[in-house]
Amino acid sequence: MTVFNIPGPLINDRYKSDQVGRFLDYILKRREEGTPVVGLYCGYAPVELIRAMGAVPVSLCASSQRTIPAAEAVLPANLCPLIKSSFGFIRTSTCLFYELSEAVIGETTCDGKKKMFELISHLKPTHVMDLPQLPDEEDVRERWTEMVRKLKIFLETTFQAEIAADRLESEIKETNKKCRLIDGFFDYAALHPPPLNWQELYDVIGLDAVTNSGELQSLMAGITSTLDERVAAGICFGSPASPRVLVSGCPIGGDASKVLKIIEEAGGVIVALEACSGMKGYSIRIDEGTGDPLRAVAEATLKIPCSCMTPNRSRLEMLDEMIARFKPDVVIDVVLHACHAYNVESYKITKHVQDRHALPSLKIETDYSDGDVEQIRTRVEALFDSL
Amino acid sequence: MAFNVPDAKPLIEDEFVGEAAKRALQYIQTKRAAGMPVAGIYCGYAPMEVIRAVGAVPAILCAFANKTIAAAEAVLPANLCPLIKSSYGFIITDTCPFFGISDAVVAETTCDGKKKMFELISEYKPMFVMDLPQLPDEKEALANWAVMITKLQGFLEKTFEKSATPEGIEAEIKATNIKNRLMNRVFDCAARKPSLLKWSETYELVFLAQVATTEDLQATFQEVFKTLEEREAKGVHYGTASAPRVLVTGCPVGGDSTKVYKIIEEAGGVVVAMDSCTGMKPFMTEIEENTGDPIAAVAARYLQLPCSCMTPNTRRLDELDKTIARFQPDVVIEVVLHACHSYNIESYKIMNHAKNKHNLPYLKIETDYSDGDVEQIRTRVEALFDSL
Repeated sequence: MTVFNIPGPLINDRYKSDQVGRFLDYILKRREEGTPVVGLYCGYAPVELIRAMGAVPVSLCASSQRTIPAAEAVLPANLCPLIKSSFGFIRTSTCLFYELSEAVIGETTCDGKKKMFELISHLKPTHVMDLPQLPDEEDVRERWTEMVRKLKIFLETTFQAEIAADRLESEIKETNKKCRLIDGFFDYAALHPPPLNWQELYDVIGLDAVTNSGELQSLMAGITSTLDERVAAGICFGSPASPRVLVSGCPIGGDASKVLKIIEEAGGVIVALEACSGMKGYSIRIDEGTGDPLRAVAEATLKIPCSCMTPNRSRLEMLDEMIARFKPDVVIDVVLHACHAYNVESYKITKHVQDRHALPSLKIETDYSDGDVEQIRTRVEALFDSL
Repeated sequence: MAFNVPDAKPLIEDEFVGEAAKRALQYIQTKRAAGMPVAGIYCGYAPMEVIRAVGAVPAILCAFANKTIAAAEAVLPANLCPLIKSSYGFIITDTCPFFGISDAVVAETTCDGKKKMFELISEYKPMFVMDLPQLPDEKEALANWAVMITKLQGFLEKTFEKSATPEGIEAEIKATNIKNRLMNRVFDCAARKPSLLKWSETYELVFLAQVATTEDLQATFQEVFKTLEEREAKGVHYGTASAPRVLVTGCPVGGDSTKVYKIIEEAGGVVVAMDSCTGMKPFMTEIEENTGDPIAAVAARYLQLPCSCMTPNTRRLDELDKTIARFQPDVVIEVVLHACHSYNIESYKIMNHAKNKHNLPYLKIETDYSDGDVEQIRTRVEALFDSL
């Protein structure tokens, strides 16, 4: 039987599926306690450093179509919607998280972001990290460690605080605990058929940002028991015959999650989300007890298999692992419009999944508008029909 | 637009007039026939002094033709910079003679598109990708870039089975400085009011000067300066005194995108300054001599290149101030190749700088290598000139 309405909320607190509300309340509460807020845009920002300073990291708004027209007064129209949206939020003062941030961390991950940061750097203390792009060079870890060290100095200077090594070490352990919990939770998505949908996956994926490991553990106990009950009762999402979809590529959130909705509406079940907004970060562990926690943090972030790296072999390796674990029937690579790095790399990704895994793949290039919804639907339906 | 005399002698008078690429190709082929290895390059960040000190001849690889783009788009996204698509198309269709005779390729992480395109051609030839620091003002940027240049040297030495010495690099630094000074004497003639040169003459000279050694250019320079002196003596100049003087800035302009230069001329303007990597930019800075660390000196010079891949690229504004003071343009036209995000976003700053600081009209032209937008560009350029 195909079930697309799963009973009961997965996270049984007062926010349930209201991720933004949960996040906002958390940030406001922390701010009332006097905790400074540091805004960031990307997985390469080492959050452990921010937390070790007693500040709270917050991902800034970047996923709404609404702010793009305001951005296009300055930025080119032919640019990634994520960058335009981010800039538009700032320009229209509508990203509460940005307003609450006392400093912003950026990285040279892509041409568009790098140059967009120049246009916002006068608004708040903004620190841009020069990210090495060749992960296989032997001095790359040294270079990035130096950049993380400079971030530490920036944070300490801006906030007149100190980031102690032992605090950093305990934040490393915190991150690892949380990642293990969330990564363990992904086992449910690997079930055939899965007892949860992509929205629920997303709800849990955000939780590490608003909890400590103890809180996450107790939340997770509730989540897993709900999932175990579903499994025991035979409640699943989709049916055994539903195509299992691994979605890879650019970060997908807010308005871009139309793609995930379309996949579900076309009868697919999303079992794996490769992007930075999905599972990518949770499989990486930071080395503990190295005696040099700053370096450990730097080395761990450098393991993120982003298309900004060249060559980005570890992305293929991560895909191999995800395909083995989640057993998708198909890979859908989502590329945000004008994101050259993911767009060019898509050729390798689709070739890899086709040649190595004999899986059909589909590349969807899209933005935050809804103009292409029916076109995407037609392509996804055609893909599923061909299985 | 034309010279004020009907029979102005071309700046470089040989069988290749108007065919800069063929002239460069013949030069490289001659060197190769003499046993020199060829290092293909795509970008002004490739440290020429090291390539030359290893005993190789640099070849600027094909990147400026619309005809190879269709082939490229079978693999690359259509919404990508035409320079990158054209480069890749040339390689997969095996139609770039410079790539054909290259023994190795030097590449850099200047932009997302090139960086990822290089991955797709790494199988064709020995290739070395240099990790370019993007924050040039950070104190470790220079050291990191020097390390990269040393690594490139190692790669070239191994690939070509040759070696470079610090003395050899130092000698190349000095040769580059001599060349750059001579080139700037030519640019000074372009800066004259009215200009002594046509844009295509500067363009052709730049094309040759990027690949040829200072020594091999001596005869050409002698001829060039003789011609320019004659023009001056006879009162020969290009365009009229009242023609709008145009500073063209932005992305590299070459081959099919020189349509923009042609349109500017046809609309009655004179291109007096070409502020791009295919123009005057590569010759604008000198390399410090006799530092005792020639690699560091080379690294420092290349890191000063005001490319939009740098953040913040404040040097570009400083250089623009100097260029405006020197060439006295009436208008700034920025050429942005389609989907080149870094020049495209930076153009906002350039526009504000030209307008606010220099009170100059500014026009941004976003284009590709096709000819579909020629009339549209013409209309905009003409309207701009009308408004002066």
